[in-house]
Amino acid sequence: MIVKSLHAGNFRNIRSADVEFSETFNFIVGGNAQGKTNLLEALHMFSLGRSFRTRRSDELIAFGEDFLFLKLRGLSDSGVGFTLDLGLERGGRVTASANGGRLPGLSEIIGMIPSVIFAPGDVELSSGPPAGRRLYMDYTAAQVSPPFLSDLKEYRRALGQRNVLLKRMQGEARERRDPEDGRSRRAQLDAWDAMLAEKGAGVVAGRREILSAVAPAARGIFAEMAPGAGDLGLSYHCSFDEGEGGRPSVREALSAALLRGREADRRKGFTGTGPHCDDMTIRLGDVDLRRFGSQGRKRLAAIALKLAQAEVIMERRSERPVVLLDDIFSELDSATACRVRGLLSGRYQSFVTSPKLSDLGECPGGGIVIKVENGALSTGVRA
Amino acid sequence: MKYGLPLLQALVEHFRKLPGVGEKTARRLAFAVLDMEDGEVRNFAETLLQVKEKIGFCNRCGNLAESDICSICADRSRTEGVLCVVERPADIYVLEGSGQYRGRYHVLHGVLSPLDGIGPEDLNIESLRERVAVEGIREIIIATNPSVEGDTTSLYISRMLKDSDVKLTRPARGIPLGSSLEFVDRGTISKALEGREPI
Ligand SMILES: Nc1ncnc2c1ncn2[C@@H]1O[C@H](COP(=O)(O)OP(=O)(O)O)[C@@H](O)[C@H]1O
Ligand SMILES: [Mg+2]
Ligand SMILES: [Zn+2]
Repeated sequence: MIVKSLHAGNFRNIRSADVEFSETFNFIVGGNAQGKTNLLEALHMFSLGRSFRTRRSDELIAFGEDFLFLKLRGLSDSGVGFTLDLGLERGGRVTASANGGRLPGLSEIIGMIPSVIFAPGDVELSSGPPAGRRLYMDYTAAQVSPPFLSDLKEYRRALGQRNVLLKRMQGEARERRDPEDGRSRRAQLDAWDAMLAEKGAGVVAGRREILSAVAPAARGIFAEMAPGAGDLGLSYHCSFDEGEGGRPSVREALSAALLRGREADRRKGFTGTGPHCDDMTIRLGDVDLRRFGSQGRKRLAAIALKLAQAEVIMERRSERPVVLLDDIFSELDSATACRVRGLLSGRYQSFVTSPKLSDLGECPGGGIVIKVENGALSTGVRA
Repeated sequence: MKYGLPLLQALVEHFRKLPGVGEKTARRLAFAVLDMEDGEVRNFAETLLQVKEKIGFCNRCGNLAESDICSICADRSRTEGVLCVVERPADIYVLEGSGQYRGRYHVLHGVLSPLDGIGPEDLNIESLRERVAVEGIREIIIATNPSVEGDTTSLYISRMLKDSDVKLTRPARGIPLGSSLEFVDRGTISKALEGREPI
């Protein structure tokens, strides 16, 4: 997928703009609060059907105006040109059309421009809590496997049911209720545990499967960006004991773990083990990146994960995503910045923001520079 | 919509409360009532009242019944010793429609769902254990809906009966995941019943 041009009116501080893009590398440069992220946000609207920064669409309309519009011309990987239009009025009225034909709603536009976006907060992927990494695995697996998505939904549903039951038992224990009641609760827990073990095993299997595709892609990308820094390794971390000797199935192991944890769960009033507590371990060479990696390495690893996700989804969907990277170069040394730039323009159409032109230093390669000043865009070819 | 006719308006509102009936259909139904013969309308109204008054649940299986025992439990030609467990009485009529099944039923009147405050004590589940002992049940088909709650209820029942010699089965593939029995066509149901598998 290639974005050929964008025509924007009243999108935040971008009052009126007409830009033709490079098919390889678009370097968006400007001082603080000039509108760089706003431009990425506008492009990303065509992927998400809404802003990645806010759910209040009124915020997107330029101060003092009543509506905004965006018109994007693109080219699919199979060589078909298309245009997408998007309009938003204050108060929420939305119009969307593809090749001039009105679409019933904004949601129809979702995914028309497959894209990956990396914003500063996304470094959490490698340095933050496990929830972000679970979401990463789940999102990627769900994109390529509908059965995974139904296992995941059913697992979450069963987990919610079990937790409510545990809460109730917690209350009953406090009130010292009839033990006969307790027996019936135990029988119910048995049933929910069996359900949780079945769906949970599906979730774990789906995550492992997707990791087996994502891991080599991430390793390759990371090695190109940071040669000599060591191998980036991804592996699944199970929160429950999978058992060594007898090698039980994941389902049996989870079932045993739930039974073992039952007393503790009953006291706490929620389920303390299972796929909802699992994680993805990220190693660099043989050290745990999250605990021992430098900030720069973590950032690169997070970018590699995002790009690997794009590769895997692209492989199964056969359309190259557009890559949007917000403010990543300011944190990279110039040699690394050049390698990242080379890697990007060799594979994807990319849009990269930075406060300083000098961040790319003397990197070779084509592409264009888009200067952003107080919402006004001007294009120049890089020397 | 205003008619300047509060009674007609009220009738339209009543029809609208029925499932699958929108404003337009409700209006058509109301006008149809106006066109009916007096006697027919009286009959209709009387039936509505009687349905609520006289129809209760079968003492044995929980199906709808006009006396203590429903017509299926009373039917001597039904296969003895085989039960099909369903969530609601409406499910029985779907299964009967397939014309395939000749055993009797057991209606749970719901499924396990702590989120909705429903446990085994709120369902017609304990009596199933008694029926197994008293009626000499050999086989039970658990036809709860293929939802997380339906599946878990099925697991609960199979655990509850694991020490009996009853053969437990669950209708196999064919019933789309997450769909409720009521909306599945007959062919699919007979196929699913044929291919039922042990739990
Ligand atoms: N609805 C809007 N109308 C006009 N200007 C806006 C609107 N929303 C944000 N802005 C302006 O956009 C600027 C921030 O743009 P942004 O792209 O986030 O900056 P940066 O270049 O640092 O990435 C701020 O000056 C802000 O006042
Ligand atoms: Mg910014
Ligand atoms: Zn009956």
